[in-house]
Amino acid sequence: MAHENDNWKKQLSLPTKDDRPQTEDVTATKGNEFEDYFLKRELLMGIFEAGFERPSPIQEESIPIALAGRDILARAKNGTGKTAAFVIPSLEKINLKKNKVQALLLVPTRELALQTAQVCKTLGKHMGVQVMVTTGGTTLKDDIMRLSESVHIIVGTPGRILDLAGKGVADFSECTTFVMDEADKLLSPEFTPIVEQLLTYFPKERQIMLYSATFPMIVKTFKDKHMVKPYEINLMDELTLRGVTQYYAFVEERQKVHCLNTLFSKLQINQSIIFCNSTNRVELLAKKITELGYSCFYSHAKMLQSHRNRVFHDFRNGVCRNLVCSDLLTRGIDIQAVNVVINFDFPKNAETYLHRIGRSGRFGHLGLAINLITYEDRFNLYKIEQELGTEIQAIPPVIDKRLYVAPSALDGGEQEEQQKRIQQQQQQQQQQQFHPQMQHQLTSQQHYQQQQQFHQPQQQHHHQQQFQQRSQQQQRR
Amino acid sequence: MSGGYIGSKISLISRSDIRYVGILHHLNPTDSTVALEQVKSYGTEGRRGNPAEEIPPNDNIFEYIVFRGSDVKDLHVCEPPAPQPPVRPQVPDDPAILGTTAPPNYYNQHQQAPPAGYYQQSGPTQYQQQQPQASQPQPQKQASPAQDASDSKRLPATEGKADREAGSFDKSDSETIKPAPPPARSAPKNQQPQELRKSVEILAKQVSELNVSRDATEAVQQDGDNSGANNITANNNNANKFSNNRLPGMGGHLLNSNNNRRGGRGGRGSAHGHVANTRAPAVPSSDFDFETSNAKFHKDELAKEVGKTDEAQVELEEEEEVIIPQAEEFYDRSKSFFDNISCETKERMNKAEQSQGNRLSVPERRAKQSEERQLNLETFGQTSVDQGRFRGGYRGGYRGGYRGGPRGGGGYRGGYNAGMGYNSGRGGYNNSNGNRGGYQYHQQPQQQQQQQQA
Repeated sequence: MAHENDNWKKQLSLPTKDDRPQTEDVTATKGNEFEDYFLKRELLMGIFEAGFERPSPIQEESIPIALAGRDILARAKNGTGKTAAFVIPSLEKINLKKNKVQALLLVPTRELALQTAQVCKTLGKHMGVQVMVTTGGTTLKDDIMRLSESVHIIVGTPGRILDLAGKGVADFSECTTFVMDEADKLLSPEFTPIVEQLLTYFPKERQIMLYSATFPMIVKTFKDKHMVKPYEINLMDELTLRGVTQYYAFVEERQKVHCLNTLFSKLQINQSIIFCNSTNRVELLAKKITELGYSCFYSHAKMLQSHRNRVFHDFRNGVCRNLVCSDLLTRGIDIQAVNVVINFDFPKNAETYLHRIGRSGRFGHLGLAINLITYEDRFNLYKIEQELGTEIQAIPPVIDKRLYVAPSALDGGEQEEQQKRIQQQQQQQQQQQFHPQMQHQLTSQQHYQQQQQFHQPQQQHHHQQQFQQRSQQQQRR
Repeated sequence: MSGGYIGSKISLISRSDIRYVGILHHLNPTDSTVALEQVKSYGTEGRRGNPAEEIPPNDNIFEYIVFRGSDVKDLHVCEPPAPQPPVRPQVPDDPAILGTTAPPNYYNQHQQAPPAGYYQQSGPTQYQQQQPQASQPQPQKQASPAQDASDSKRLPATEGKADREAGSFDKSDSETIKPAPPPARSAPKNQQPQELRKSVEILAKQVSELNVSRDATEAVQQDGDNSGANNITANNNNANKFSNNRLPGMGGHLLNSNNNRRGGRGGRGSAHGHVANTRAPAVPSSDFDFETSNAKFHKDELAKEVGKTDEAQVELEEEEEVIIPQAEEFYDRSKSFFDNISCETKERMNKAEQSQGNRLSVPERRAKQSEERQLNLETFGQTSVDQGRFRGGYRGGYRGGYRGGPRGGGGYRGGYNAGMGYNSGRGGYNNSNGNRGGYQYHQQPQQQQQQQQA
């Protein structure tokens, strides 16, 4: 659609473009433009200045429906733009003249709350919208003081928000937008009672929107009980990301550190996240990695919140290459520079596995997931492969860098090869696109190839830069 | 860590004007000490300006001397660290060998270069540098004589410090989360110089801090302005200044924990040599052989094995059938919006059913703990980084720590507080508007010790 009066666009300070290839997970759009949604000019400015060019598939589906006021159940893969899919309509619907909380964005972890609030602030930069983030682990007093000022949107974790609502500090009586990100996590037995109680503080004519990559049956109970004819958006033909190549390395428990050490020396890691199954093991591994001479941060739920925040903030800013963590950071965390995820301890269920490996391959980019598998893990490996309909392959002696390294970080020859491959695979992909359901029946080899398919970015990029500064802002979410 | 300079030949001059030369064993920012090995005293060498007061050199070599940082007037590196200790001979792959891990201080080989984003802050030019020392030639401080040191390189202390400040903590930015840096060339070939350069900076910084104890106060004052609403940078700048990479959440924090945390003897637990952790599994210097190891595992046969253990599936799977993932059972978009994959909730519900209740019984919990300890011992040669003394305390931190606030986190805080001693001496760590999010150090009763981790 052509848009007139585009002069204001020339005033925008746009970030540098990201030239990394992207998969169909984010490129298979209808071709909408953000302007098509008749958003406020100030919001559009924030969107473009954040580096978004066009809506991703989930944004295309979600934004118009959310603006229309319907309840939504939306399912899309990890890192394909869900956050902006609900933040943009939430921002659009805010009446800035009204000095009331009008939208609540609920998330399961504190780090995710910080991240989501930041997206709100970035996209709403020119609107003058007041965004407040509140989580446990901070003093209630600060929140109370903040709420005495103007707040339009609250982003936070359930316990604290219920606390504020219960004390009458946060007034949700005119809060008509209720969003749950990682909704299935928020509707797990531990959180559900809190969420349901929280809902009692909301007006009857509220709009409830649920977003996640995984929706187990338990969510249905909530849906039936609290949602009004929700519009279902499901963009997941299969569960796993196409850009993430998955390998396993069979090891004995006592060889794990050795194995990891070798991976560090062999892989071209831009940033990595390494998952362990307990907080003790997070610390033990972080210590080992440091002793081996590699830099690493660690984070887990038993640390002080302020320490967790600093780790998250610094890792995001690239202060450190490796982050060892528990499942605290399994969901939603969006660090575009992460190209390798390592399951030092293999997870026990498919859901956790899926969210963990989704920390790489953000926004359709390429990434690697490497799983250390012991004899004890073998059935879990089988189970997770089966359940996700994916194949985790034996790690090859040499891992092709083109599977996970940004083009700008490849040597010239490798780059050319990657271009060629992209072209070939695009053709192949076009043939397959018409049969999305086919994927489950593919042989493993075909499936493997499919995983590697990626597109060029929609927009032609400038010449290669050695440092893709700020390019991660490009087209995210 | 000052890892890069551990093992260097250091020349230092004390406030008594005596010059000592020795091998740097460690710098301890916590209690402001510098420890040298194989130390020789060169006397005052005329620095006192009064022949009557001069102290002559001493030919004895002292095995190990710990210097009080505040009494060190000048310090520089005469020689970079000697070549790495010879690569440890390959230990036979024998389960009987519990470990051959050397003390942490001696590792500084193959450190990775920090990710691309790190250098965006101080400029990409650093990638070009070959010799970090040579690139910063100007001596910054007043030159105290170092007559013999024709080959010595003075540390640009103040410069390195400024660099740090401009570096990872951007104060004006305390409220925004910057998007992560994009991938960029990770310049493996240039790693060494970068690493070395960083070490120089850090060492210089540490030394300057050891020298000038007022630094800490200044830092506190500066940080008073830094009241980021999001609590993101979390008031740690000052702490970072003298304990680089030693904060909770940074790998360095966990180092020496065996010495410091356990011993807690006047904060000098690490001074007298490291006891090699004999239990840790060996990390051979050779590469892990993925092919050989993977060959021991027959993934294709898992289906059969699963079939054996689960009779229901035996019927479904013919022997020769190729395993095609039957994803429809678990997720099929065309049939349902919802999925049926295994998840944490299901896992918990199953467990709850089995144990007929929400919580594990005490023996079950103990069994689970002992299982994890066993596993940790196998993987790391340790059951936890707080092995021994603070184990209970650390565990206890869960509830409180998670809820945050000054009430919580007692046990955990107790653990590192006593061990790393951030709270001792300078006190800068908890001074800067530290009332948010529980930076205060309270003496915690260990009441939460019994609580179990999730």
